Amino acid sequence: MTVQELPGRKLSGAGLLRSGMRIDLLPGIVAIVAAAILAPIGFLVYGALTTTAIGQPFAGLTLRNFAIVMSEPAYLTALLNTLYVGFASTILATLIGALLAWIIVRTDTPGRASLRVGVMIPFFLSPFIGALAWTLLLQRDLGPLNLLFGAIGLPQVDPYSVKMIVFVMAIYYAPYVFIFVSSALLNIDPALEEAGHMSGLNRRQVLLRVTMPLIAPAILSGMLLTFVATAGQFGVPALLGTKPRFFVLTTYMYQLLNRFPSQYNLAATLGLVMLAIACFGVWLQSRLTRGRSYVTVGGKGFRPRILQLGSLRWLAFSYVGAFILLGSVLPMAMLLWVSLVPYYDATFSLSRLSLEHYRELMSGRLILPSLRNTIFLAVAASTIAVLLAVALNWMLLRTKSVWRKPLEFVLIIPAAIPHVVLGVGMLWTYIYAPVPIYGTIWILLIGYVTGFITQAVRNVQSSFLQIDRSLEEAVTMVGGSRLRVIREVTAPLLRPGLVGAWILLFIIYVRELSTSIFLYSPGNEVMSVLMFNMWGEGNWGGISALAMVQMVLVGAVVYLASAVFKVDLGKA
Amino acid sequence: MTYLSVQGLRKEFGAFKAIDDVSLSLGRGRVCALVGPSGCGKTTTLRSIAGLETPDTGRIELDGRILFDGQAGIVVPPEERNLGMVFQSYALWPHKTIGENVALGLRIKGMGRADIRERVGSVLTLVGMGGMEERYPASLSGGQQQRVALARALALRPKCILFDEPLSNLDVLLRERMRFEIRDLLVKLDITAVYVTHDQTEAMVIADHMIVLNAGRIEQEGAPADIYARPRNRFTAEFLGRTNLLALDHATSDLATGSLRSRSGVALQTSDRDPRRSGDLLIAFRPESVRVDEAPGPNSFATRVISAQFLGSQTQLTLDLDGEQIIALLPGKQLRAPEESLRISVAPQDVLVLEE
Ligand SMILES: Nc1ncnc2c1ncn2[C@@H]1O[C@H](COP(=O)(O)OP(=O)(O)O)[C@@H](O)[C@H]1O
Ligand SMILES: [Mg+2]
Repeated sequence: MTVQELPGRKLSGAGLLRSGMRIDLLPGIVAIVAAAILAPIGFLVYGALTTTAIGQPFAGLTLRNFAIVMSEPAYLTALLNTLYVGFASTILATLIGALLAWIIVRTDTPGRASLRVGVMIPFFLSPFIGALAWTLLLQRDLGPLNLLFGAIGLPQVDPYSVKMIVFVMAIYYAPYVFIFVSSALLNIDPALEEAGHMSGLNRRQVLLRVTMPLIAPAILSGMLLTFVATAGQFGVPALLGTKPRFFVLTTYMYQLLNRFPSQYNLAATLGLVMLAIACFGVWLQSRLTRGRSYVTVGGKGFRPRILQLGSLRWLAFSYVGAFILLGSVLPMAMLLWVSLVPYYDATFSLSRLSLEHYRELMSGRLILPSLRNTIFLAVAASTIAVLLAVALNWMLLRTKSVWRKPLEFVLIIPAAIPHVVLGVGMLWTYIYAPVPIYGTIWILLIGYVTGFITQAVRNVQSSFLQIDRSLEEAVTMVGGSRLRVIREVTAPLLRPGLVGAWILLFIIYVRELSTSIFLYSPGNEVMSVLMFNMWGEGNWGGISALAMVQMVLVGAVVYLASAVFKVDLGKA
Repeated sequence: MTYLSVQGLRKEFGAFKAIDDVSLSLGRGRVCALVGPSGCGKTTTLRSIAGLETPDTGRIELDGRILFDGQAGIVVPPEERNLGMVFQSYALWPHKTIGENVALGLRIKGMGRADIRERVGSVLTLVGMGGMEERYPASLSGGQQQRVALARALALRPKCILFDEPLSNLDVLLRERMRFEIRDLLVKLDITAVYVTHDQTEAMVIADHMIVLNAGRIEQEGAPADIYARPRNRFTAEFLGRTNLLALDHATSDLATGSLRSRSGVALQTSDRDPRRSGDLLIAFRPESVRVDEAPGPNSFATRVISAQFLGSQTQLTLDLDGEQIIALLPGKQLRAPEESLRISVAPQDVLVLEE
C-alpha cells in the first residue's frame, strides 16, 4: 500500500475540519436565530426614532417620541410604577422564597418532601391565573376572604390595588427565588459550616458569616431575574391595575396600541425603555455574580445539615402551609367553585353544582379552537426550541466555530427582553417581512420560540455539560463516525434532560400571555388570551372553567413528567 | 524498524505552547511512557496521536501509514486510525452494559453477532472480568471499570493502544498491582503502546522507553533504568525521585579527572567524567546511595544528624554536611539521635554531575 492511496483529509483552516455538521447546517441555524432575535429590536428602534405609523413610507428620523415620553407625566408615572412594582414584589418574593427554601432544605420541619411540591405549585399556576383567582377571593361584598374579614371585624380588601399587584406577584414569583436558593443550599459543602463551628462560631454566627455569604450570589441572581420578570409582567397589572388606573410600562404599551389611532411609535419607545431596564438587570446579575459563585448550582449535591427546630418546627410548618394555602389551595378551590356554580353569589351549597360553564365552553365558538391552538403551539414551540437548543449547544460546546461568541451575545437578549416588548417588535417586523405570517398562528409560534430560546439553551446546556466529552471520544476511538457518536452516546445521555427541558417549556407556553396578547389575531386565540378577553366581558364562570382546563392540562403534563419520565421539575 | 513515528509535533492553544517539537519513534510491540508533571503536555501529545486534537505542525506515521502530516495537509480522522485508547476517567458508557461497552467497536466494524459474543467473552476473561457482560459500569469498582476500559481497547486488536494515566484514579495498593497486570498483558499480547503517566515508578514498570516532558518539550529520553541512573539535569533527576544536589564550584573542580568540589566546600570524587558540560552544574547523589561508614576514605564525610524518621522499610535521616542539608535513606530501622555525629560515604559511581 502506498501512502497516497490511504484515506486522509485536507486541513481546511486551523482546526476547522473536525465537524462536518457545522460547516453546512449550523451557520444557517445561527443566522435564523439571530435574525429572529435582532429584527424585532431593530424595528423597535426604527419605530421609536420615527413618527410615521406602521406601513407608512419613511419620513426621517426624530427624537420626538423620546421627548414626549420624558416630558409627559403619564409616561414617567408608568415608569416609576414599573420600578416600584418590580422592586417591591422582588423584595417580598425574595424574603418569602428564601425563607421557604431554608425551612425546606435545612430544618426538620415535618412533611418537607410534600411541602416542597406544594411550594412549586404557584409556578405551574402562573401569576395571571393567580391574579384572576385573587380577584374572585376578594370580590367586594362577595369574595369569601372579604366575608371572613367582615365577620371578624376587619375592613374589606380591594383586589384592584397596587398592594394586591405586589402581593400576587410576590407569591407567584417566590418559587423562582425558592429554586435558586434551595439548590444553592443543597450545594454547600457541610464541611464549610462545620469548620465554622470548629472555629468557635455559634449557630447564628455560622448562619450569618458562613452560610449567608455562600448563598448570597444565588439570592442575588434570583432577585435580579425576578426583578426583570416582575417589571416585565403584563397579566397581573393588567388585571389588577387597570381599574384604579395604575399603569406600568407593559400595560401602558397595551393601552397605546389599543387606542384609536394606535400609538405604535410611542409604544416602541416605551419598549426600548423597558429593554434598557431589563438589560441593566441582566447585566448587573452577570456582573455581580461573576467569579463569586461559591456553590456550583447543579453540582453533585451534598447531604445538608439539618437544623433541629424543636417546637418551632410547627411554626415553620405553619409558615410554609400558609404560603401553600394562599398561593395554591385557596386560588384553586375558588376557581373550581366558581366554575361549578351557575353564578357565584357567596352561597356555598352543593345543590348548586352544575357543569353549565363547561358545557358552554364546549359548545362555545372559541374554546375548542383556542384549546387546539394552545396545545399545538405549546407542542410545536417546545419541540422546535429544544431541537434548536441542541444544535446551538452543539455549536457552543462541541465546536471551535468563530461564531460562538456572537451567538452567546445574541442569546442574552431573549433572557432580558420583556415578552410584551418582543411582541410589539415582532408585530412590526412581520408586517414588513416578506413572509405572509402576520395575522396567522405562525407569528405566535415564532414569538414563543424566540422569547424562550435562551431558557431552552440554558436548560439543555446543563444536561450537555454533564456528558463527559471522553464518553463521546471513546466512540470515536472504537471507530464510530460523528453520527454514530450522537446516536450511541450523546442522544441517549441527553434524552432525560431534553424531556425535562421540553416539559418545562410546554408548561410555560400553555400559560403564555404577554407575547400572545400582542401577536394573536381573531381566530388564533390561545387559552390565556381568551381568558383575558372574557375577563373584559366579566364572564367569571367561563374564565374559571377555562382556568381549570388549563390547570388540568399543566397538571397532567407535570404528573406525566414525574411519574413516567422521572423528571424532577424543581431542579430543571 | 520504527512502527509508530511522531516527528516535530507542535500544538498551541492561543499563544500558549502546549507541546513544542515532540518526537518519538517506537518499534512494534514496544511500550513508550510519556512522563512529566501535570500540565507538561502529555495528554495533548497522546490526543494528537489519537487524532482527537489536531496538531499545528508535525507528522505522525503508524505501520507505514501517514496519520497526520501538517505540511502535506493530511489528517486521518481518529475513527479511521485503528488505535485503541484507555481514558483517564475510564469513559465507560454508563447506559450500556459491560458487554455492550466492549462490543460497540466490533458492531461498528460490522462483525457478526456470534463472533462478537465470543470476542467480548474472551477479551473480558483476559482482563479478569469474565462473565460480567450483563453488569452496568456503575455497579463496578474503580479497578473493575479500569479493566473493562482496557478490554474495550483490546477488543478491536488495534495497532497501538494509547493510555492516559489509566491508574491515577485508583488507590495505591490497587495501582501497584494493576501496573504489573497491564505490563504482563502488554507483553503477552505483544502490544505497541504509548503510556502517559505522571508517576515515574509506574513508567519504570510498564515501559521499555521513557520520554520525560517538561513544559511541552522533551527533556530526556531513553530506557527507564538508564534515565534513572543518569538523569541529565536537575528537572529529570528531581522528577524521578529525591536527589541530594550540591552546587558545583567550577574553579576548584576538575571534570576530566572527576575530582569535584561544591561551593560549600565538600570535596567529592566521581566516576562521571565528561569535561564537555558547561553552564551551572550540580553534584548529585541519591539518598539511597548514602552509606554509614566508620572508616575514613574517599568520599567519606563527617556529618551531624538533624532529624531521623523511621518509614517502615527504611529510615530517613536528614543530615548536615558542612552547612548543607542532605537526605540519607538507610535500609531497615537505623534511628539516630539529633546532634549525634555520623560518618557517611558515597561511592564515586553514585555521584553524578548534572546540568542545572
Ligand atoms: N483545549 C485546550 N485549550 C487550552 N489549553 C489547553 C487545552 N488542552 C490543554 N491545554 C493546556 O495545555 C497544557 C498541557 O495540557 P495537557 O496535555 O493536558 O497536560 P498533562 O496531560 O501533561 O497534564 C496545560 O497547560 C493545559 O492547560
Ligand atoms: Mg493529562
